[in-house]
Amino acid sequence: MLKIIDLKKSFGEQMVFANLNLEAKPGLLTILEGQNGAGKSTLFNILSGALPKDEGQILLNESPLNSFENVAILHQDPKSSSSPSLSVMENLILFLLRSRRANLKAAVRPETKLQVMQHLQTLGLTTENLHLPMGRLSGGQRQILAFAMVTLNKAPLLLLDEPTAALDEQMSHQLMKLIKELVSSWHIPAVMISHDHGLNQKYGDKIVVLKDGHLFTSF
Amino acid sequence: MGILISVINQGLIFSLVAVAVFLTSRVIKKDDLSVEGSFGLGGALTALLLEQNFSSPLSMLAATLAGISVGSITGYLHSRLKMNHLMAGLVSTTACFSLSLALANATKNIASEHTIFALIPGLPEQLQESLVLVVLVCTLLIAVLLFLRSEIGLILRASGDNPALLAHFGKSTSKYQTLGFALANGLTALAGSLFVQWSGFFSITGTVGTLVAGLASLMMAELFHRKLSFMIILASIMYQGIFAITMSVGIAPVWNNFIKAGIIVLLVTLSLATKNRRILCLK
Repeated sequence: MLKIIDLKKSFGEQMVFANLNLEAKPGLLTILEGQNGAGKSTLFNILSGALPKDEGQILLNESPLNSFENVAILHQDPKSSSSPSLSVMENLILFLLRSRRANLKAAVRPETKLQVMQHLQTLGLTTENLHLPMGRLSGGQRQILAFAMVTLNKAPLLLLDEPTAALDEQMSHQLMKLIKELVSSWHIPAVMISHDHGLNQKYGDKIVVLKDGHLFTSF
Repeated sequence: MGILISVINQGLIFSLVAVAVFLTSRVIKKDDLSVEGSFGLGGALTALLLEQNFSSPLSMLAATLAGISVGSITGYLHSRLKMNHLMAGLVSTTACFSLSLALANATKNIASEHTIFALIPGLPEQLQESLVLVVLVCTLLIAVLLFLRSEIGLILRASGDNPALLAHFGKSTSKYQTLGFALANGLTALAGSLFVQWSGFFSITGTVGTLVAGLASLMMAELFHRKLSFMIILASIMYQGIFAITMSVGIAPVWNNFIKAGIIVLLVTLSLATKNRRILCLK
């Protein structure tokens, strides 16, 4: 369970939000809506560790969320989370090994590749074309793979920043289904920012709207 | 026949420079001018050490370490002191020029010294040279190819593509880019060491145009295959061959570097034409 209690953030004189409270239950997808400038990205950045909070508490499974290293974060732009000249498999291997000390052997060990293949199969993704450079894939394919990458290591929390913004309708549905299935099977809380109200209605378990520094639960 | 073997041997030596240019220009995506300086420094240090009766393998090791140091300094100037990478390379090369002169003067003859090419007795001289160079260059190329597939290699490649990704992983982009500069200059200095031993003398003017030779070989290899492969050795030999043919028609040696520059322009044009053709085919 992710709990945000009395969270406060301001930039100088400008108050973004005060006394913000939110609960994101494990196994469910909590979606954050709101107009541009409402503070969604600020909240997302605080949750992902990119911005410090002013006051308040963020608890993950009743413990303060201090280490953001293991939080799985999927950004809007798939290009930001991959290396275009590396093959798909090499990109996946990099993410799998990211939290370990870099060495000369781990990447070429057969068990490393096997772990990557198993993860892709669990997600129901094809294991063909893993040799292709990432830069040769379409934006949608890259975003699906970016999701596979950030979830290679089991995370206690999943954060998604408008992951379908650059995708066509078919790819958006494919990605949302993957997200829902993984959140449910891992039984972890997931918070997603999205402007696509249609998708939010279809896949969101809880929709909250951020307006004037306050959160309103839509359903 | 002698000229052909000579072209092959030179091509083998300069393929190491081409690999170095690949590491900087294509992997970490920072063109490095210090390659020119470390080639000369590797050669000068080898000439001095061989003259002082140090063994050839030890001289080569010292040359490689000197090159790694030059690359590390270039990396430091670029990543820590925020100097433009071209400027950082230029500074290192300028310093290397003085160091090379101090170590070996403008020229040093080492024809009578015991070089790496005299390791296998009983074989004709040119065959010995080719054999040693083929084994050494192929081993080094395989080592580089394997290294680039390792985790450190993957991070190094990603550092050129998407530095933000490394920051996301908590890895230092500057550390990995400095590693790229260091490896490239280590290889180049080793090439300089081999060249001096192969030619039997060190000449400070002989180091001019090294970068162009490496770049031309790399571009020629890329006309056939975009990734690093054994094609780079063949391309390097081809470049030396083209250069030798051009020289054999009686053009004065003063035009050497002019011709090298001309070959680069020709390769850029060919590369562009090939790229445009690929785009047209895709359309």
